[in-house]
Amino acid sequence: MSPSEPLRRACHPTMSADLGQTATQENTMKNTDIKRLLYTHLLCIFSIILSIFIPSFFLENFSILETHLTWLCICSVLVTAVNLVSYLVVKPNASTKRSSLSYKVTRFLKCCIYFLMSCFVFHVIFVLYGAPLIELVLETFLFAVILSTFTTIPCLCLLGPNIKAWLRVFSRNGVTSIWENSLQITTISSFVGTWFGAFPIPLDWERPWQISYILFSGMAHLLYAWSDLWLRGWPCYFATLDILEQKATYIQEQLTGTQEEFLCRFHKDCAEMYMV
Amino acid sequence: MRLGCGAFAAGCVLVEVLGVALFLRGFFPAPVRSSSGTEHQAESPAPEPSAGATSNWTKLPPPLFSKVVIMLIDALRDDFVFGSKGVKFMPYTTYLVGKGASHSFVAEAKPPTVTMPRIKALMTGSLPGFVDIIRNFNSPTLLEDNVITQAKAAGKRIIFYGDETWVKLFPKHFVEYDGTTSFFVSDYTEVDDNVTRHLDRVLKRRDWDVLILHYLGLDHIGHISGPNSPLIGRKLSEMDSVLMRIHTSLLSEEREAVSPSLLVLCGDHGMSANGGHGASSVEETNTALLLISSAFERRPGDVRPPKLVQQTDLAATLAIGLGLPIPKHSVGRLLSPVIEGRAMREQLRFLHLNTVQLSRLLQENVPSYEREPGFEQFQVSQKLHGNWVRLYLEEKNSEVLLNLGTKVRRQYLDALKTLSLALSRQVAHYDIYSMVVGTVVVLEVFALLLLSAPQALGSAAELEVPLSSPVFSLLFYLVLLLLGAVHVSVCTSTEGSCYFCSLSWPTVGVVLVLVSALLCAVLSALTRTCVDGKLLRRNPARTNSKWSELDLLILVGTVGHVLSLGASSFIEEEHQTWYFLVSTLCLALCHESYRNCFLGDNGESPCCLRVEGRFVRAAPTVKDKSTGCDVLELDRVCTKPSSLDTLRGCEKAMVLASPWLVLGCCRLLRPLNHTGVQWAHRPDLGHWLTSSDHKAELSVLAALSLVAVFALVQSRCSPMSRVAMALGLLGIYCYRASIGHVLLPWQRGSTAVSRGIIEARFVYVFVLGILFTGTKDLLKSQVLAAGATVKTVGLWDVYSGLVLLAALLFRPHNLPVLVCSLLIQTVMTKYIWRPLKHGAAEVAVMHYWFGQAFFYFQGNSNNITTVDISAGFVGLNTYVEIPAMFLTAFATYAGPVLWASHLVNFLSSEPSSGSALRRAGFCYALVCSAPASVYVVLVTALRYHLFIWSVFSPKLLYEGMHLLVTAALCVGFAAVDQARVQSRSGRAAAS
Repeated sequence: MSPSEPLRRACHPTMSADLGQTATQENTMKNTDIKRLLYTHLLCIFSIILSIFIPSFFLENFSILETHLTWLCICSVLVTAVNLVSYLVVKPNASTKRSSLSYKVTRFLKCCIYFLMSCFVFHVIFVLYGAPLIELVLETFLFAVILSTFTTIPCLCLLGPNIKAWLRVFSRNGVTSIWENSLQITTISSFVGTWFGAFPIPLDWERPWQISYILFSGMAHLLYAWSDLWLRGWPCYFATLDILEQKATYIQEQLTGTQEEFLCRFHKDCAEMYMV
Repeated sequence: MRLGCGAFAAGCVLVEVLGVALFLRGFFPAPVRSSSGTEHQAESPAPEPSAGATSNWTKLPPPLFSKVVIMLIDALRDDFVFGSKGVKFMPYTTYLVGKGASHSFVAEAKPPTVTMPRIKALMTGSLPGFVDIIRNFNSPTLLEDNVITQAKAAGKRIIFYGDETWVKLFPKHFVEYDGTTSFFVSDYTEVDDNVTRHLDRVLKRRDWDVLILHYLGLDHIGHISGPNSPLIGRKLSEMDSVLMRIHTSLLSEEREAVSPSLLVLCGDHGMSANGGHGASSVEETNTALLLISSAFERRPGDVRPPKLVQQTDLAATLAIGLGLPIPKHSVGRLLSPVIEGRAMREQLRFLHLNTVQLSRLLQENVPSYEREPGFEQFQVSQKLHGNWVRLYLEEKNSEVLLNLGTKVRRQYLDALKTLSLALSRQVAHYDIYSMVVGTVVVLEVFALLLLSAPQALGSAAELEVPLSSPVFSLLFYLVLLLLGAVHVSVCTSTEGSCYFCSLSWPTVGVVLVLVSALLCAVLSALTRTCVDGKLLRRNPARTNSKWSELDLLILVGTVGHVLSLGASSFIEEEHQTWYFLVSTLCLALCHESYRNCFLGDNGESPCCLRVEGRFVRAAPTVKDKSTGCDVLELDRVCTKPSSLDTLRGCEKAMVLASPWLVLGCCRLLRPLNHTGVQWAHRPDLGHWLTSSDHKAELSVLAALSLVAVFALVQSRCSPMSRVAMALGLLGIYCYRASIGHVLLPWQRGSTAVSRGIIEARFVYVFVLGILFTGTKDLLKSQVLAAGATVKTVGLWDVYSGLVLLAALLFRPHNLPVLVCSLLIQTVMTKYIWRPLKHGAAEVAVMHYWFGQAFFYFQGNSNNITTVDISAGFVGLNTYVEIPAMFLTAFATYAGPVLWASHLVNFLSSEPSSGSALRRAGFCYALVCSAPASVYVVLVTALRYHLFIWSVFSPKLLYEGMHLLVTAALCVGFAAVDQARVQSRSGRAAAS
């Protein structure tokens, strides 16, 4: 499975000069998208880090291990807020058609219901995985909430309450844009992180963080952050690739065009590269 | 020669079983044991030998010491006392070593240098091995003959302070104790203060005979910061002051007492250069041993360097010192300096007692003991001793007597040394050579299976097994020659006993031929794979095989499980791994079925397409076969289209709901039996049900489960076995009622509890009847080419017979496990495997996973204690070894066996399955042999691990047993498959 398939397809450069121009335009569009994506993810990571440090200013006796429930709440609220804000600001799939207010309200309500439903479904899944049914029920539910924050809310923001679109995105080759690609990667790595997070539970080190829910969420965080970083790395990689290939076209031009023109363009390009 | 890959896999697993057996034989060394067992009957001690004249001394000699204080310091390496550290930090001890009334030794501990086996060695004088665990069946109490038990039997009062391990080993032996736990390694002051705080009070009291102190602090410091840390010095000074306190108190007491007292300072194991212990480096095995008593007189200026002795020698010395019989299994010899000050007659008597004990042990363990040099020396010295006693009784106090006595004593000491060496050689080490040979066989088989996987899982599911080429290749003979040379050189050079060397030459030859033939086969498979890989790389169009998420999960799960076997916690909690994997599998299946139903091509639900597809595919077969051999299949196909429209919604809903149903079933089974270690103490449903207050609930549950079993199994049985099944299940309830587990509705009040022999045998008759009917059908389908229906019914009959047997042998509260297993099998077959069209390999691995999960749902674990031995006594009057072993094994492995036989049923009931069964058999063998082969290597690497005996070895036994069961199942797969092929060819010939 190659998550970068659409990216590669979109950015494959053409050797002809005319098509090169259009490709550059596409590239600039994509570059802005990549930058937006980068900022969104940076913001998300930043909010998670903030959720660790900020509460200690307001709350007494705050620490991740002891008052983990508060921390989970704060973290999920912050991440939700950041996701919503970035969605409203960036609007990755802003449709041109105007929709009525009532439509918007029903859509919002639907989103809320979907979120709650996902929380309950996750809770049921955790219980099916072996979480105790009655004791620690609050912990389990909060963990379900935070996992839904990491997975359901971005989906709701990007795709709306549309199950078919979700299933499309999460099946092979169903991704159509870079936003959906990032969504796929972050969500799947959150799940995988949660899954891996269960591994240290049976170890007999008798550490406080070994209690399942903290570990689950901790690992989910880590994986989420990691996937973000990874995502940030990929677009940069592609951007540099594009620029290098543009350079190749310039070298071709050099064979035909004048030297000064080439040098001038090359310097400009280098400057662009530095900016990126 | 072309071979179906199922048969190939069965052969491979059989060879692998041989390899594992050889490995196990090498891993668990034969113990040195006295046949008189563990009972402590008072045997009369050996009388003093006398030639002609009758000696009047037949009782045990009186104790040498009135009081004994054992001060055990964990990880007291020899140089902490006798080296520069001792001089610097332990001044009082150094003074005692140099000038005082003491004897100092360097005691060598045998690996594993871990506290518990070391304590056992110190107190029993034997070398504890794995057999202890088998014998004690994991009860931590030390049942073997030992000094503490003997002392208690002799009425000595023993007080203990220190490491809790002692309290576990000797739960009822101490009149007073205070155990400290060694869990928190970071604490090195509190553990010792907890011991020292009792000292003042105890030393003032006079009402004890033996005081044992076990200090843990030094070991903890070693674990934290190593042997060169400044903390070590401080701890040693503390220990020195404690020793001084005890010694002065003993000295002041001795002035009033008649006989002297003994103070023993010793370590249980050493400390390696980085502070750990467990392995066999010199720093870890050499410990300090210091015996202090006013009885040990020494001339000033008599400085002796510490002598190297064995740790096991202390047990014999303590027994003599306290006037007790020497522990039966002790391989140690008396520390002769201890008795130096006594009269010659006493000295010889002590030595004689020890020699008699050792030679008795030798007689029981070595068949050709008469040829042992030690035994000959023993007889010579016994004769000399008799002569000396006669002389002694005739005339006393002469120069001749003393000279002769010294000679006899030297003779005895030599005999002791030879005897002790001969005995400890028997158990000293792992039999590495046998282990290596076993590992090589196992790994070669596994590599062969892995390398042939691409070919075997291909379309033909057949393998080209080059039988002739390895036999005639040059490489084969070279390897064989080389292995023979290695074998001869290893066997002639090793001193210890080696199982593989003691085998007869033809057997060894067969094994060596096997090893080299396997090596050649692996090499040829490897070259073939390389060539194929090159070909594939040349035309990359063919490499575009896609891995679905499910395949990925199966791969990750299998590899992850195999790797998790390297950690002791994951072995203890292996059930969690399987529950986790099975839950994830269900979620993955759920994802797959949702995607197929909602996002199918053309917007049409694929499950409906699948039904139509089957109809289309089945239609030509109906046309082809004018004979009505496929009546069942035909019926099903014909009824389908008429009710297709009504079924569509319902079936779709079931397809979507079934993964959740399976998940729910698994979750319900989880609290039935808590196994493992960490969560085993939680109250579980099983205990609640088996308690006598809830008999009514258990009865209802058992009755409902039996009815459900019947409902789930009967639909596909032949009519006769259906009746037999019903009667058999009724018989099971009667059996449980007669044994007193459940209530009968018409029974009021308590009735006499019998053993239910008749009822159980009644059920056995039906089990055998059903199995016989099934086998008969199978054979009929093979010989008479009767057709697939007869065969399917026959297979299902065999399966239902196994279900009936499992229902009989399961504990009554485990019957829901059986029901859930049947329910999940039915649901998965109907709504997941058929509609989603999984490949044979995937289905096989899923069956394996579920089988493993059900193994643990039954309440099994990787601990030997959870084996339900009572299953071996069902319907038997007395313990009959072979049926009992078979029944116990079946009851334990019922989960994997039932799932595997369901796999056979499922694949052969599928129309046009072709080579599916073969592929499934291969896959099953591969997946089962992966953990076993990796675990063999892991255990070899971890053989000095702290938990090797408590965690890894039982798991090794389970792994070996599981491989044996797998081999039997694979042979079954291959047999059914062979029958299938033959029946098909027979049919082709007939038409």
